[in-house]
Amino acid sequence: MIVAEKAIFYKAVGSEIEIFNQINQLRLPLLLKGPTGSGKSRFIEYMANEVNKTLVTVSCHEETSATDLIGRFIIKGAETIWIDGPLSIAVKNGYILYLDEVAEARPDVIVAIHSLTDHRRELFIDKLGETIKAHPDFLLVASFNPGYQKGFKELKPSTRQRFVALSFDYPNPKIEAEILINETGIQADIAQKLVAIGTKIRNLTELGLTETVSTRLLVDAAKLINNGLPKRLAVHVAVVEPLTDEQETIQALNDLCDLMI
Amino acid sequence: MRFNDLKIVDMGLELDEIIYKKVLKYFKNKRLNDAEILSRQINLSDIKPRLTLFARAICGAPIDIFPAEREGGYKNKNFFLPINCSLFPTKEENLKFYFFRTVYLSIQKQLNFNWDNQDNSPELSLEKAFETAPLVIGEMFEKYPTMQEFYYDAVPKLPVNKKDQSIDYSWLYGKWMKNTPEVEDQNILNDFDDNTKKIKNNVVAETTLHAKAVEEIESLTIDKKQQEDYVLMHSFEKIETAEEFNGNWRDFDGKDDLKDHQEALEEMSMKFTVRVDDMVHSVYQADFVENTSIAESAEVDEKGFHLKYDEWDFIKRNYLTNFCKVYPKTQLKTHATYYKNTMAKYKTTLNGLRKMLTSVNNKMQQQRRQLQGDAFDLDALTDLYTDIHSGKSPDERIYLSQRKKNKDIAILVLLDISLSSDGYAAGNRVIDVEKEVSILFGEILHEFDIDFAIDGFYSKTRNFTTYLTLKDFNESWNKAKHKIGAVEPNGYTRIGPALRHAGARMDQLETKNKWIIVLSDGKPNDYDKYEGQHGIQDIKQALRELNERKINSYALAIEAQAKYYLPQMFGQNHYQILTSPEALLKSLVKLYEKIKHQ
Repeated sequence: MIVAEKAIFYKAVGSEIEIFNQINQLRLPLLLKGPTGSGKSRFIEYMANEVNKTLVTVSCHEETSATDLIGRFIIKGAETIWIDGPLSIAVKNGYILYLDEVAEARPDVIVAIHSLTDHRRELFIDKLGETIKAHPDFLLVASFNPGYQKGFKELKPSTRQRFVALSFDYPNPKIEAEILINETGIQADIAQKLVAIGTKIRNLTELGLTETVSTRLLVDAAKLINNGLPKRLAVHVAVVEPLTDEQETIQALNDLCDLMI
Repeated sequence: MRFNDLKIVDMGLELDEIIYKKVLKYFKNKRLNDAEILSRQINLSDIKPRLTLFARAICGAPIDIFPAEREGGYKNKNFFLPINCSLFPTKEENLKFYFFRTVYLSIQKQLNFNWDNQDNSPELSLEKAFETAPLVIGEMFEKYPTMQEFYYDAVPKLPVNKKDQSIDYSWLYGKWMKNTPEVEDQNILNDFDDNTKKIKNNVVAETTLHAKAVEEIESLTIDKKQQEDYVLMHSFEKIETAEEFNGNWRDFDGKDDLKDHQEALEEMSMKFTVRVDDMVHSVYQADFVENTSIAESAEVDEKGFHLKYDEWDFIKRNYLTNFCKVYPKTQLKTHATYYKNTMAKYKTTLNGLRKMLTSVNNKMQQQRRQLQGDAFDLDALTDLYTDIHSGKSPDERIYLSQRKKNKDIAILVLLDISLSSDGYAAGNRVIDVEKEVSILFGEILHEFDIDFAIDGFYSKTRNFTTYLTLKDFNESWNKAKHKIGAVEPNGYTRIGPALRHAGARMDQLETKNKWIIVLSDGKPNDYDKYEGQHGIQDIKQALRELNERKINSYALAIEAQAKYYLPQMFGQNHYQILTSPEALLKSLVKLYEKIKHQ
């Protein structure tokens, strides 16, 4: 469980801030879709900060179960004690609960949040035999990466229908360069070159790479350059190498980077 | 594309001709093997994968790279580059030359400096390229300033024209080529006589040689009359010669004497081709994707049972209704020893697989909150304590059990048995890899009682896609396992209709979890233009249709080349490229695990 505290930088790409404010007023559940490193988590952290709410983040994985979210009994001495999970805490206190990569979690998690996503706005805790009404401020946000596990891990249409969805993609070159400059304080011309490399490699997603250059990788490269690493080397280690292990592809991407920077 | 229409005359040699031939060969070899040149020469074939990715990245389009006849240019989405380069004194410079040309072509393409479908002389094409070069170069330096260094370095080192002592810029600027529009239906060739329509005895090509670069092809219609007349005006040549097409037709004899004629052929332009349905003995092979016209299959079996499927036209964005005919057939021939040999060859692999799959299945067998079992379910146990302490009667289901709960799965393995599977990948014959893998995977699936089918497909144009069922769902494996060995490569790869038929077969099953696994060499082609974007987009559409009907798909490719095609068709995470049967099997088991755990 991570609770965000300090102010963070986020650059709006479209009208997502306005949409979020509306959703926040109406307390609608929100689904963020988009590829790795496109700013989904950053956006929600930023917005939580803007609307001055506590954000509770749960990174879901294959073994995340409803128990992990709702809470469990633990044995202490000869007694059993109930411990609230992050979901129960957020529901009771009116926090924003952010389920990162929700499609990864076990199916019972999805079932557990169903009653929170419609008019009922309540959570049934089977182990306590209790139903708790959500705090008026409680907001549920989930994220998932549509391209990545298609066919294997997908959200059921019935679950998707319960959310208002916002699509994220890599920002356009101008905004992305601005993000790099703001994040790392790098010179504008280098930022533009890095973004140009990113754009070119993204051209290749459909063609041969499973995952592509995220804004996050570009930020890493910019940080390294800013810290004094030679430009080409920084791009090789921060952008090219994380993407693939295949010698041929690495070579081709390095060729490309050497052309661009 | 195959060239098999060149009849080369080979008569007895006189002594002086033998000497002439030897001398010619000596000089030719000398030219080729000059060690100094070789040490700095870069061959396109060695850097093609690297360049392809590079070109695709800078253009943002699925560019393919082909060898050029000389300086090259671009045509639609194909870049033509020199076969090898030793223009510059160092290896690095020669390599940089290729990158320079690729970047140059990407910008030339962007500015659309090319002919629009009119024929122009080679001189004019070079001249045009020279004229427009400053614009391209200017744009290039603005976008990629790092290219300046190479350019200014390279210009003084360029070779000089012998005629007027001017610098030969064509190596840097290339030439204009002709963008080819889509071929229209009117150009259909169907000039086959009755003889060619019958399949002759199964002859297998014995010699395969790679041809030199071909940039442009014109398909001609066979002129039987001329062919017969030719014999009359035959002039006797005494050494192996080949002449360029000049309107004279010769007989197609289909002898396997290609090797003897290789030298003569290398001197030739391969621009004119004809299609024949004769079996060939020798294959002179050149890769080519553009402007081949549509040919109807000579083998049309109107009476045979067939189903019609639509094909997707991505340019018009609609379906070509009932465009393809699929002939479903059931394999009857068996090959008993093939199964036995495969089992013997991969005994240890099979045992390993068995272990892997058992563990996959075991994971699923574990069920929580059972009345009896081998271990405690900790969550249930805690609940039990809670209930006891709060005075409720506790739930006694506190065990983990190993009970079996099988998921409802049906798997269809679809084998590409086109002629291209006759080739080799990493020392293994592709068709054998496919057959062995399906036998082993079938064996395992059978042992674990999972419903599966093994089908194969090949096509001879849209009118004749054969869909061969080797093992049907619910068919006994003990009978079917001997059929797989008997499959032989045939025809071309038209994946779309086969996928649609496989989907239709899956639709009839009531299973919840349906998977089609395609084993292929990855490149869609058929001789009526199923190559390139049309094929890829049709396959994409067929997969989309399957997806809508909740049928999942996965592709396993056996050739490294597939990496340029599969991702476009199957999408991320839905394909894998492997060359050995062992690696393939392992990834099949991993896939099975994913299927079970989804």
